[in-house]
Amino acid sequence: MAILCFVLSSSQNRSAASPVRPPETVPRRTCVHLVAVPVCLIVLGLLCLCSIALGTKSIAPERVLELLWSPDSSEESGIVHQMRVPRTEFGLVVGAALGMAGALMQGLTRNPLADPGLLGVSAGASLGVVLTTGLLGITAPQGYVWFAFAGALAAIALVYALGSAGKGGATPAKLALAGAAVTALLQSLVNAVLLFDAAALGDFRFWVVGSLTGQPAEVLVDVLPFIAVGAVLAAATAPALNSLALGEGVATALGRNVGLVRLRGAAAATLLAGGAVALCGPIAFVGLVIPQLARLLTGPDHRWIMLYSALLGPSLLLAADIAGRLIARPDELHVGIVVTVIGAPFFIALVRRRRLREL
Amino acid sequence: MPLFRTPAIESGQVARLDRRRFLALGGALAATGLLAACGDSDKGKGSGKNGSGKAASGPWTFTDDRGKKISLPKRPERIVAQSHPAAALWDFGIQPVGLFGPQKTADGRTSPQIGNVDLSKTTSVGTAFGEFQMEKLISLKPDLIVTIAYGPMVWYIPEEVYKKVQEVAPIAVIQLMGVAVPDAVKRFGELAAALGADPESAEVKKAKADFEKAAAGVTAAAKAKKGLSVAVVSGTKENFFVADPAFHGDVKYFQQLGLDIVKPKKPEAGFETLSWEEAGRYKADLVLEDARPEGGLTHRQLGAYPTWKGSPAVKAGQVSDWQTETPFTYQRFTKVLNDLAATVGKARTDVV
Repeated sequence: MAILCFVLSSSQNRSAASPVRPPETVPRRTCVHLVAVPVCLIVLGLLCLCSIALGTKSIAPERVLELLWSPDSSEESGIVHQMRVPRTEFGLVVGAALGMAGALMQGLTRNPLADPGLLGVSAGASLGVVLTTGLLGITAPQGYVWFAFAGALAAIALVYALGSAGKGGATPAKLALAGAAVTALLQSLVNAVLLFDAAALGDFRFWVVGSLTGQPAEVLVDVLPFIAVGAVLAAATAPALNSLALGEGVATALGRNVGLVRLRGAAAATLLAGGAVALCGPIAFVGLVIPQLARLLTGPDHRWIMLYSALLGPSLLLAADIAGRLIARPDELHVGIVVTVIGAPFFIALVRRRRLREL
Repeated sequence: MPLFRTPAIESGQVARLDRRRFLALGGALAATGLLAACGDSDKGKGSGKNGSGKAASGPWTFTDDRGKKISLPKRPERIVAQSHPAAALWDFGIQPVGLFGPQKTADGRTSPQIGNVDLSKTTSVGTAFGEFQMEKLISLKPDLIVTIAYGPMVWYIPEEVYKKVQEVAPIAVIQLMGVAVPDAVKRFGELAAALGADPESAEVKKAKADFEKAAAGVTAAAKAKKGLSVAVVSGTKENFFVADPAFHGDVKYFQQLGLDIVKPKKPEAGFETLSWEEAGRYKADLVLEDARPEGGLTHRQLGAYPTWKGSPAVKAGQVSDWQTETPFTYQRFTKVLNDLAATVGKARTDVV
């Protein structure tokens, strides 16, 4: 689907390589968006329908449509309403959250290889999960989702505190280093818990791969407000990222409070990535590949990158999830595995195709 | 993620995780025709008897189920065994000095897998799959190490550690893949006899009689409930598993006792793996669900899946425990059979 958008908007790819220009002066690009955004929306809508219609169990499409409007007590109705619809909703929310979180992280740290895990989000959430399932014995997803969230928040707070200490405040390089150090620390704690408590493993093993089916639908409703707040904050931060891309000095000269932008961005990324990781585990690559792809489509304007990331993220996640259901019938592959398998070569191609745009 | 894998095996997902390791070996196994040898539980039995020196002194030999002949200058006294064979030997009167494999549950109680073994009289040399505390093992000065196998998979002694462990003492392996419970118990009895136990002792005889009575109870119940179909299943968050009666010695035995066990079409290493959407593929009047406390889902958790909740047996309330952790001994397995007879006796046959 992304390819489709990509083809449609290929006309503006050339300009993506040109120097940074204020987007207002490029009306042609706005026209492209008028086409590309609806196309992305339609593709996403189609993927949602596919996600509900396709699965390891074959149910005729017309039967699925019928069941969608009028559920009955059949097994097929149960599959559609209690399995496929919830996992589609998870895919939409988590995909959008990961895509936006990735775009934020790349913009904030001006690092094209940044992903939501950079600030220790995944490792913090992992520790939260093993601690609850292992030490507290809470294995119900409703129980550990909050600890995963809390772990992510705590980790990112620690990274931010470490990264902003000393001269110059929270610079991208310092944040990345602090993130790497905290991730290593947390990961070793996770391993320690797992080594001592094998019982912690059952749930963790499932969670850490990344799946859209691990949590009951109610949990999504609980976590959704956090992700929504994160999304609003992210959208509000996007224009400031454009100034930040010109360098700290220029951004400050343009009247941006760089420290405040970073703090707000980090808070948004935490809510988005923390919520996504708590819901579906640390799904890799979405947060890394999607903003890159969005940048290919739109050029350097972070407002558009943010929008496309929010649209393409769930598209990738849903497409991967559907593929995972179809290729291993009657078994299923986890979405985390499929995304990585698709994402890795795609990412390599992307890196090889053009020099990564420096941010 | 090899880090996560080893303890996962311990956490009760043994059979399923093994499936993966097992699959890697599966091709080789089929090719060498070992599979046939494993299925045939009679093979190699005589050798155990022949080799068992009744006298405690003098040379001792035993041919294990891989056909490996173990020769020692005298009968082994100090045994280190995996939980399952340890429990089996214990009930025949042979008390191992050391154990490896599951011994305690997550909450610190004695694991059902260890059977009647008195943990205060034994030393643990490791609990996780492939975990051997070598110094402890060596300090126990074992004469013989005993474990079981499922096909080519030597239980709890993976290739990585096999050589090291073998240097401490010879390893005797009892095959359990596709071996029905009484055949397995008999084989454990042969090993116990070779080690100096009396398989005809009053205690063993009584246990065997009780076991046979319980088995007759299952047969009678199965006869009374003609047409009752039984599926043996297990569920994790990832998948739904349907057990293959040709692989699991207990399920195979239930089948031999006259129960109509649902056979999955494409089993791999003991189970057909299904997605949760496909969990309703095999219908049965009665479902026996994996009772292991760790790893799998509880009855309540299973209720979250429409394909489980809506399955005929679940709707009819005909779900019972599959006691996968019970070691194959007369003493321990009798209860499983009695429970099964009671469950079958109560079951309705008109569910599907």
